Amino acid sequence: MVTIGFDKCPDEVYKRFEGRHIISIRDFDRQDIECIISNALSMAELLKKDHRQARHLLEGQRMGVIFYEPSTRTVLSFETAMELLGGSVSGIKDPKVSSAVKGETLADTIRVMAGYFYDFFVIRHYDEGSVRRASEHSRYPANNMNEGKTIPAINGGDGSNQHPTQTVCTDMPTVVKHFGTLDGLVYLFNNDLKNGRTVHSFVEGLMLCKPKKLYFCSPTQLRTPENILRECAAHGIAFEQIPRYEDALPEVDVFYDTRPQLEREQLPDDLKGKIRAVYTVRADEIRSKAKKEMIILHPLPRDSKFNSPEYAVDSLPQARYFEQSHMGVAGRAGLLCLLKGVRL
Amino acid sequence: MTAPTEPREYMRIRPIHNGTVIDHLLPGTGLFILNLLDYTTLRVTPGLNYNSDRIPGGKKDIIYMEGGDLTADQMGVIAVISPSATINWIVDGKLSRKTHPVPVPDELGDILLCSNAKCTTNTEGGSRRFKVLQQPTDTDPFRVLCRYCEKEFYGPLVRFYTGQTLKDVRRGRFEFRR
Repeated sequence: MVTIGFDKCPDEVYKRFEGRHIISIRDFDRQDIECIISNALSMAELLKKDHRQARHLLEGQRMGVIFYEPSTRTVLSFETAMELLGGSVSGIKDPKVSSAVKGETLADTIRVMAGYFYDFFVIRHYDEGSVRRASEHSRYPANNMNEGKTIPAINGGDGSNQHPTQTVCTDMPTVVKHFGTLDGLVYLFNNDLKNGRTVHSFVEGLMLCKPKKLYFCSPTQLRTPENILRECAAHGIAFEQIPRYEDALPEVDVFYDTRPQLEREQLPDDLKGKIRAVYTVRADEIRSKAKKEMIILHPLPRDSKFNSPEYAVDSLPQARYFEQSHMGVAGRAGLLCLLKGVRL
Repeated sequence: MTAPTEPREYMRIRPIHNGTVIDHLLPGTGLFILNLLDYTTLRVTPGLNYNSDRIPGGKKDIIYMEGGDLTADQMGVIAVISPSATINWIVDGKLSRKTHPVPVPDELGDILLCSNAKCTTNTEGGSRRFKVLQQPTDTDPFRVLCRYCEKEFYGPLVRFYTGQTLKDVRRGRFEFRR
């Protein structure tokens, strides 16, 4: 495992990203992840100092957003990032008003939009693998001076499969900001680990690192997929599936909470009740058992019907999920610069 | 109805001059494998339940194909369905090359079908690609990963493009697509 750390990214790693599609964590190696995180943290500093300084970095570039599933944070953070960098955004945010309702495939939509002078695509689609398929058609056609070159396609979530930018632009930079590393930490993933694509991407990213231990805490029906557990074992990562998070809490450095993904799987009422009773992150448990330095992350949204983490957790020093969400803008702005070879 | 005067004559298989003999197939798998091959324009002779001293149970299937060749995909599934298979290449009436065990390539394509109903290859169609994670061995089941939905399938659940799983084929539950 060759690492480059989180300072300035070497040129040879930087160059790998120009024109690259961002589809899955599986396409990355450790250096790739470090490079993206390093850019996210540099961009966060730049924006904090004076966000107007970023306005020239991607001036005149155009981003096409194609969102066939609801989104708040992902689409808005990409749009905000593009605007802060001086670019513009347009596209489809409601499939009901696109030709998808007439039966058009995503692959055809991309082939059409590729000729409309976009420089990036950010795609969220309910079919698993759909963004990888779309990326195969994402290149400038004959009407563009860049004919034949790749238009980077970024996966904003493909069903319950992957959400790579949540991991490398949002979750991991937040961890590195707090601990200075991804290695040697104890991570706990809580709640719906079966359908939560952010968990799948994060755990796959951690396979490129050396975490001390991973805890997976979920009801039996919503356990982490077997192939991910098998891969953890193959990478020599210590992990344990636990029925309740409280007992592991004193050891944990990063507590990653999620919500039940009811839009992907209907759950019986008794299971919903169990989730509320057992898997809700409660302020009294955090106060009494967690380390002070522990951070609680959540990809959000927090489902008000389950209320986890409960609202009382928001005021605890461990609660970092809004900060994590804000990191998404800097992380995605940093990634967009990487994909166009713009050095920070 | 009169009996043929020389029954041996019409029962004999015409020798292959240039082509392929897929030998030592597990009994019951020959017709399914034949179904996966593009044999429309070739002269093909399937042989079922021939005697075998190599396969436990003492029976084997065999396929004689005059002309044509096998793709890496086709060889891969032959090896998966019937690890005992041997492929003989015949050139000018003579054995030119023999392959056993038949290799499974690092990647398989459209010959497999993704078993995940939510995978884009099933919802929107298009070509399919599978990374072979584990070659079939006596102790480990065959495992593949769909390049698109990134779901992993193993052993008896691996599905062929004709719709059947390896489990169906081993139980003889399949139909011809033509």
